[in-house]
Amino acid sequence: MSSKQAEKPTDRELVRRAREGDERAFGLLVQRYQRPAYAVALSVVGKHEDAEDAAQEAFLVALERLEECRNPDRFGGWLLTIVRNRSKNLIRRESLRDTDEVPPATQSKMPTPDRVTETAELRGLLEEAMEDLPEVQREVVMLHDLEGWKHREIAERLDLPPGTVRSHLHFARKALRKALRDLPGAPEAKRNTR
Amino acid sequence: MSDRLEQTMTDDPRMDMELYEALTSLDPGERDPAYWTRFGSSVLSGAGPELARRRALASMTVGDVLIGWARALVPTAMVAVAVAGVMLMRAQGAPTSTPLGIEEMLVSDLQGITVQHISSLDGVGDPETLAAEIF
Repeated sequence: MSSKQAEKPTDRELVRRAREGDERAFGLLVQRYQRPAYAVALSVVGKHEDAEDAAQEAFLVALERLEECRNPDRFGGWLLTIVRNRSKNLIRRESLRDTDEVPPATQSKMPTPDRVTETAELRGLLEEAMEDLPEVQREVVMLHDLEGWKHREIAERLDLPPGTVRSHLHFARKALRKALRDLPGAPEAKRNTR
Repeated sequence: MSDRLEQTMTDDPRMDMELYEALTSLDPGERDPAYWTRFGSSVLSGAGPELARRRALASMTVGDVLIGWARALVPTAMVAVAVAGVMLMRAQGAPTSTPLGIEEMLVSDLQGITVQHISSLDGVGDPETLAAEIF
């Protein structure tokens, strides 16, 4: 595993090649960061479709502005900043739209085919619980507990002190666990696992 | 997914399965195994023109840059030369105006008043007399 990791091209190398238009290098960067990008976008926008749009747009913006990435070793953090900004822009754009549309909060409670299964139900509950967390806590818990990033990586890429990351993670987890146990619609099996 | 779980558990032994499973439900790749492949393909498809532009830029040599400049500069210079030539030809055919010296302009309307006439006047040393005589 360690020799395999050693063979992996660094972000710096991939950024250098992507600047020259190397599709494979850019593809590897996308592959490496698509999940964290989506997680951060979802933390900000809260809806799958919007998170997908924001994350995909962010990759294209990042490619166009690749020369502005002054420290290619920290491409991940730079990209996530773009993702966050694109996501916030998306929310702003949506809030400016005609308010005749159904508000997102109502949409999330509407029964859809996706919510029939237990997983979908859990997802709905979790989305609601996540909405109550501060944005930074959502990002930290998603990157750590879903994407498997370490505290140090999160601290570097979100530009936060490691202690703050731990603290955000602690409070986010506490709130999520409580929400998952307390929400009346939470699946019985999930509530009894702890 | 199991790699990520293993990594997460190693990083923080207090990680619990319930939270991990709950968060996993937010991963679109869990519902649709081909999701992330499609996501990547979609990004790469959108990035195609920009990557092509970058490839074209990267493959340019100094000679290409100079030729590129020449392509723009040579026709511009030729047009400028042609315009200048036409203007010169027109200028040669037009009547030329005689340059007029400043001294001539100053005395052009002073009929009969010459330096000798002024100097022969009485009280020429007096500025007021001189001014009255001239104006």
